[in-house]
Amino acid sequence: MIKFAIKRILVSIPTLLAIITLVFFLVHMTPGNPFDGERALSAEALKSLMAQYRLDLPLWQQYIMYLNDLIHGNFGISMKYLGQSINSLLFPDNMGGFWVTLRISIYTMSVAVPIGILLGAYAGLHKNSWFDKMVVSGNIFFTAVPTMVTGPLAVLIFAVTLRVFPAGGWGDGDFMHLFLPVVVLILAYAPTIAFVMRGSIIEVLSSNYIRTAKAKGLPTKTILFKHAIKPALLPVISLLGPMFAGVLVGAVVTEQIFTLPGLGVLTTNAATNRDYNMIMAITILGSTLTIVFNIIVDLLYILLDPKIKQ
Amino acid sequence: MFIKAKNLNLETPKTKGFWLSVFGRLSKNKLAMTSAFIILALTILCICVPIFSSVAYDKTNWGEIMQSPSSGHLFGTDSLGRDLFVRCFIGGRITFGIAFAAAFVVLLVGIFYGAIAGYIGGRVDTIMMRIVDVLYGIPFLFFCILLITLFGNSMALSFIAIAAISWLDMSRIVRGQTLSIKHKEYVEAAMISGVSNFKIISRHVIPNLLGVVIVYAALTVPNMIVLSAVLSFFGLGVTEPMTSWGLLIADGSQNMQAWWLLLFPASLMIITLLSFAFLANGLRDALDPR
Repeated sequence: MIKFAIKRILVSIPTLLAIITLVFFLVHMTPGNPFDGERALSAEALKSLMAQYRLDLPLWQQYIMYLNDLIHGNFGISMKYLGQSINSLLFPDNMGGFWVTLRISIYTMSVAVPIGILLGAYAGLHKNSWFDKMVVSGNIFFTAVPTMVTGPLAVLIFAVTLRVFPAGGWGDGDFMHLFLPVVVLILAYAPTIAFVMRGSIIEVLSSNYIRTAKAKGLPTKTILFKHAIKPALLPVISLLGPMFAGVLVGAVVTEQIFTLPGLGVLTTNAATNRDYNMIMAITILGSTLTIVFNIIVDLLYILLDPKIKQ
Repeated sequence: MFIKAKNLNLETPKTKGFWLSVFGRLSKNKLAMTSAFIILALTILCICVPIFSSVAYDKTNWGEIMQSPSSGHLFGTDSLGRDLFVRCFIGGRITFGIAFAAAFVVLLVGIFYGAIAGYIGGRVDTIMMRIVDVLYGIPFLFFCILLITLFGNSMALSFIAIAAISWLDMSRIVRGQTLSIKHKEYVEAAMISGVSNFKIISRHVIPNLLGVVIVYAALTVPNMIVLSAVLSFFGLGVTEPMTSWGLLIADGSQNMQAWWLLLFPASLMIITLLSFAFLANGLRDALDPR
């Protein structure tokens, strides 16, 4: 287990390095420099700016220094807010930046996963019932229709027309302000979890060892909770790694809809101001999180699946 | 020679029969057929409405600002007095245009990449799929935004950026399919009897890929619609006075008091996305009857 964990982590380091390299050279090999578009800078001002951002050094030196910074957890300096470090924008002391995104994602997953599993299990146990059909069609609908459509519609209905919830903003991170964005995100992800859970419980229940358990005369409860639940959960767990990464990105989109001060705002500002360092930082942060979640999920999978454990 | 000719005769009617039966099954699926009809109708509307309408999509009219839907303006007007009905369909034109074009590029790149990796196999396959793995590690939306920021915010470039990183799934699917087809008995038989690689690919591999590709195409187009719309929320992609469904929805969510500004483009988008979902489902069932 530990051997596998170490191996799994070591394998993902080159992947991350490849991503960083790709992003770095993509940004730095593109013609033009980030200070092109701004008001005409004097030659000296430009020179000092270039020196501040190390753009006057040879590319390979810049690359090595960037890697060195990253290892020390330093994403460099923002090109929009001159002189401000990206770390202080991404991870501010008060609520904002990545913390907002992370919080929304965690709220979403901690509700979507249990609800998805429960709905899916119930639907799978009562295949072809009206409840099952509702779960299946809910999955079709919310897989097809993204948060960027459901989000504004939710605001229109619940905030503008019914005036139950505020239309947007963080407030102080209270229930009322976060309810709509989190629910919209849950609606986007819980149906998928439910659908996978439904499929896997149907499959598990038709397997041979469950038939044997039934033939032995075990009570339904024992069969379900002792024999069926664990293997049925495996496909759901392998779904969660990519999904959490998806939720993070989904949260960023949702922030845009509900004007929350998270990574979304930083991304928009960076995109409109051509703040390359910031976009690089966000992309690399996102990639790192994706890879980390995939490792966690893989390890969890091994813990639960006796077939791989040995 | 004689045997080959005979083989061909056997083969031709069989493939024809396959596609005919697929179409037969699809045409019995009412939901899928309705969806296909809706997509077709919307496409025609997007082409025709801007041509035949009496007002231009970018004609501002200060006398008719923020009018709710009426017989004069079916979908109402926006904050500049522009007719939303025309704007919805010119926006649909852009959205469909980007989506279909991007989907086409995605399929092309994905099929070639996957088929080459799968057919050649060995070390080439390993390297090519490692590259795909690495690209998978990057959150898609951020990478898209990075590319657009780098190469400038133009429509053509944004669609290239979208297409450039959306082919990953396609290439994986095609590779898997190619691998399994490669080891089928009839391909091995063809190899042994000396049929050229090119002929094997064009006769056996590609026709067998077609099913997967068609289903995936029906899934790729809506994905591209969503992605291009999401980019609008980040101020990227199409810019005013031109519009797209994403931009209209983003605008509509800024002006919630005028509900029609959000409701009409959002409904059009929901209808389209659901239609594609049902069509893809129907195609899958029709191509793979079990």
